[in-house]
Amino acid sequence: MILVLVCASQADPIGLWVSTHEDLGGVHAIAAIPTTDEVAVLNAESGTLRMGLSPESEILDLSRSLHQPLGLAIAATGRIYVADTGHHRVMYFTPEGAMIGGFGGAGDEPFQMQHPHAIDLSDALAVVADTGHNRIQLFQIGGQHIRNIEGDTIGLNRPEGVALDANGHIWIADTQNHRVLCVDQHGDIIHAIGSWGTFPGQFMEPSGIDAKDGRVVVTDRLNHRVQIFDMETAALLESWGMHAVYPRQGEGKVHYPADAALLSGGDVVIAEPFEERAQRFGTGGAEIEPPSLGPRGVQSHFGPVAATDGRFFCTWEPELRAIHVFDLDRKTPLRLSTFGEPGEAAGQIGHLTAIDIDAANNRIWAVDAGNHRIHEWTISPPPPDKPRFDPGMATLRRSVPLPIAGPGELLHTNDKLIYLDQAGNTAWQIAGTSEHTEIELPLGRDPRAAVLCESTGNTQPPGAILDGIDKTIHLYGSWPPADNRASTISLAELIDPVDFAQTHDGSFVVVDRSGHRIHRFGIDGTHLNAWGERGSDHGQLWRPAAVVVDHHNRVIVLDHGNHRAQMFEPDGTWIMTFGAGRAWTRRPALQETD
Amino acid sequence: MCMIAAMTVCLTLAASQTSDAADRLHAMAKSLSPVPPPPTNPTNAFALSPAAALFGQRLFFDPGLSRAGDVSCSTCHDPTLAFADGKQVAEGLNTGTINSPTILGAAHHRWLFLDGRADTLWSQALGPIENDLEMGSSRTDAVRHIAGNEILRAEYTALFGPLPDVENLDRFPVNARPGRPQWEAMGTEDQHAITSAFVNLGKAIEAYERLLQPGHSDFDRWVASIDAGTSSTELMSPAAHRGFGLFAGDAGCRQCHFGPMFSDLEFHDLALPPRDPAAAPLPGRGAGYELLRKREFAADGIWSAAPGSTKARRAAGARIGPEHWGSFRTPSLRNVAKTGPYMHAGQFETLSEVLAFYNTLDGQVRRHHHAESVLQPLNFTPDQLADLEAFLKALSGDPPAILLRKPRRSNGTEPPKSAE
Amino acid sequence: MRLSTLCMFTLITLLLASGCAQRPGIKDSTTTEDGRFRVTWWQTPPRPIEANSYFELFVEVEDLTDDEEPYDLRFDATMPAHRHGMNMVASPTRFTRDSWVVRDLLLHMPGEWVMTFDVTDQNGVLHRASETVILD
Repeated sequence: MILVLVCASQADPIGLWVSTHEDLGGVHAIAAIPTTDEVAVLNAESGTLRMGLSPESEILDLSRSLHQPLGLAIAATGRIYVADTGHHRVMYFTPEGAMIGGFGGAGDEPFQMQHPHAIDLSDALAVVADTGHNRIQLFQIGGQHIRNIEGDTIGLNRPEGVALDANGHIWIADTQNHRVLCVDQHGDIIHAIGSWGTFPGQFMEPSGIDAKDGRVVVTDRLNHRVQIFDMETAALLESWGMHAVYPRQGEGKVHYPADAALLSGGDVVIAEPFEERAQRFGTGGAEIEPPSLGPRGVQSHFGPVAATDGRFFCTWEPELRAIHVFDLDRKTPLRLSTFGEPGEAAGQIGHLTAIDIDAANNRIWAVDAGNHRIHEWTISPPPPDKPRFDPGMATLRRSVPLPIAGPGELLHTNDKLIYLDQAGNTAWQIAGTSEHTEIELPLGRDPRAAVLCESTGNTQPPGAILDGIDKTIHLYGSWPPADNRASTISLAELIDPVDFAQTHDGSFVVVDRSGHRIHRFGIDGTHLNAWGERGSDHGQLWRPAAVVVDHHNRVIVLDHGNHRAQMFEPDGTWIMTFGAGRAWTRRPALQETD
Repeated sequence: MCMIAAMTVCLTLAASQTSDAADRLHAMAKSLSPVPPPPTNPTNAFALSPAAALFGQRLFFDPGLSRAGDVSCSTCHDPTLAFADGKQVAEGLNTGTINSPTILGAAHHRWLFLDGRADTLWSQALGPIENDLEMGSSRTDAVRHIAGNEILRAEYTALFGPLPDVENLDRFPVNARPGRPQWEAMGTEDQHAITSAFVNLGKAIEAYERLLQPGHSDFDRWVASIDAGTSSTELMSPAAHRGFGLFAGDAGCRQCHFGPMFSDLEFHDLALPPRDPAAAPLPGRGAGYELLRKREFAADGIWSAAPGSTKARRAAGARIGPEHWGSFRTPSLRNVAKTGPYMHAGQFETLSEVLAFYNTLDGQVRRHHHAESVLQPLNFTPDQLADLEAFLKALSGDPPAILLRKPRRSNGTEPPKSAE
Repeated sequence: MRLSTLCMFTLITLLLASGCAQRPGIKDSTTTEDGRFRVTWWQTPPRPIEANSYFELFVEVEDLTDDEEPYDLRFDATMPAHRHGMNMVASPTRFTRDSWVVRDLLLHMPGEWVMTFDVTDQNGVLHRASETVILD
């Protein structure tokens, strides 16, 4: 039996598991196909669109026009609209996949976009979640801009989902405000649902949304569930889903759902990019098992950011909105602190997109895209010979407004703190005041990560930037880099390079998220070695998200999909796996240690 | 000689440590007893009126305030059961979802109802009268009931002045209460007159309920003996004494059960197993807070005698956070031995079941995988659990008998039943 | 005049009349973590904070570097080990250019609390001063 939390008005709960469809790749977007009442799923990483869930379904290759597309809608005519997130635009295609045109584009004009995450359509209207600009854009179906619903009028904060209902109302997954809004086409609020939390009716990063036949379905990403609301009253009708107990568990267990589509018969199909699968739910589904009310121990939901310096390794846990600090100089990493106040006020943690630590000066910085700030903590770590857990180890020192704060990379040198803002494609030198300096850097088209190189000789360039679109590491002869690119390393063979770090011998380890592998390249671009494969065993990886190299020259990979970190030698030899409360290592033997 | 001196020092140190421990325990005991008078409530000008208390006592036991004349406040708050009802969940006109709490000491609570939806005792008292699960009546019919009863009418009038002309059914229709068409059909002034009289009923009930203080228990008598310098340990059983040591120490009960009412008066989620696993989870303080914000009879509202008072301001400053969803008010432990079943939905029949839960946390429900619980299993021995239970049983004490029944001064006539 | 209002009025009057030389009540002081501001507070009633007992603070903020008027002050108290804070919203009321009154504070459980004074400067930067309080 699927966990049906609230079904007071539903004689037949619809949250019953019907089917699971696997090996779909990074399926961030899903949409009903009006002509067939099937669903189409969009693989953001390959840029391919599967017109149905069966293995035999037609696959359209749209990759030549798209980069990291996260939104999908299909018109009644069969025309395909894609939120081309990485290119900051909307592209539309014939039902056969031929590109017709597009609208939007990078920039800050009213019709331009910044990382749009979603699109929905009516016969005459297209609405776009212009996520990076915190607004909703309305276009005619042909791309003529009508108006915007500006985020500052209704308080949007990185909306990732949008849907049009039959009344012409717009439903918005207001992701970083952890709520769902229903507005009219002029932005007047009709319903506001939810707040941050786990109780039915609350949200933790609502992501995808769809509205049809009197119902609104929302994927509640960090709660790993789906919630259904009444379109007229906004009352919660049903809520189901629960984090998997075992890795990769499906059949009703839900993992980081990104999008949902409602079918005409009332069934719901959700996309789970983490699991590279879709699941279908409906009234005709199977009752598969009693509600599993949450396992103990699955608590290391390390977010996609990490940093190390000296003996410290830090990352954050998005579900708790807290930062973990580990001491790496133990037999196994020991958690020293978990800190941070969740909330939306200044100084509280919303959604972190970058983190950095300075062991020498006992500082931790974090860029908070949810609250548009950069926070700085002072840490008072215990002496190395007397480690102990201390929730009060960090004290907030400052919290500085940072108006542009999308995903990016935070770097510190002796006297500078620099944020590479992937969303705005800009770099900021962070000041102690809010008067940050935008600095000119040759960032490339999609600056996903950067490193300040270790000083190991005259041949080392001082810094490097990874460009996600070009799949290239650019090496620079100075830092901050002027346009004096020393050389490049091609990552063309990687599917989705998202982060990199430098080992002590100067080589670079690169995370291939969709390839579930780590690759190591020499400074001259030679591919030295690679390790990892898709899986949950020690040494295997599931959508790794970040990598750092510690002061023992150990490669620490944030194994995001497995909710853990793993430590390797630069040659790929597995050393250990660890989480917030446990670790496994073969040194001296495979054992569990606390 | 040296050895004797050393032994003397050791014995003195040991005695000193024992004495320190006893002093700490005594200090802890004195923080829990006696029960002081309840805090003042300036939002109710009649809170301390003996006449209002007598009238309120009459109302408390009067089923005439219910729709069919068969449910009174005392139905769910039975004086023979320490003003609880002995049932898993409340049963008025229908079956509810929440256990009936004792109202002994209710005037000490800053939030009323287990989800804290009311901020004064008088506004709490009005809720059940118009709740269809409980008494199912209407404010108009409640006032009509007062007007139709000679004693009630006389006592009301003496306290609050004349009643509205509720015999006029055109102006004051049957079943008229907010949300119903009969109410919407009434004139604004008539609505105001009815609500004003209705509020007075609540304020009188509060005046009575403020007198319902937990009586002196064995524990209170022992604490009093400490104050008197006698520390008469025989006033509690040896098991209860050991149990108090655990209560104040390793059991950690004091995290939430402290102060003279053995309650922090606030809200916590113990992740208790649900009474009905198939039912929707109870939102507790989450929904209670929303109801509080929308409440007609708020401490800072127009029906309050002191909307600008400190009490009203503090009530308005309540905060809601994600941790409050699913949380319920910490119950007082005074008279706990008499108020089973236990927990907000009556999940446990007996005290030993409650303690068994704390001992293992078996059945604890985590609503989500990342939910964290401060509670840790006690892992006590059966003897230790028995000692804890003995201590909890030493917290029973009745209020004066005169408060436990309907007032005897009566004209002997049964009140007329409200027309449906 | 209600008792608490009277107490606060008396405290503030005494504070002003004394020219900040001899102030009543328990005084404590710390600087923000970055050293920019000094935060000094007096407690009413003037006794150690008790679990589940209301208290009020009179808070003064001094800019140690620029003598700039603080833009705002926010007060909160949390229990790091429990990962939650107070059950009420603290709403500092500005009293003078550099001082605030924070009423109706309630630390409702025994244990370790961290009181935080968040001073926002004219640039919107938040500077935090904190103080640990352990309640029996």
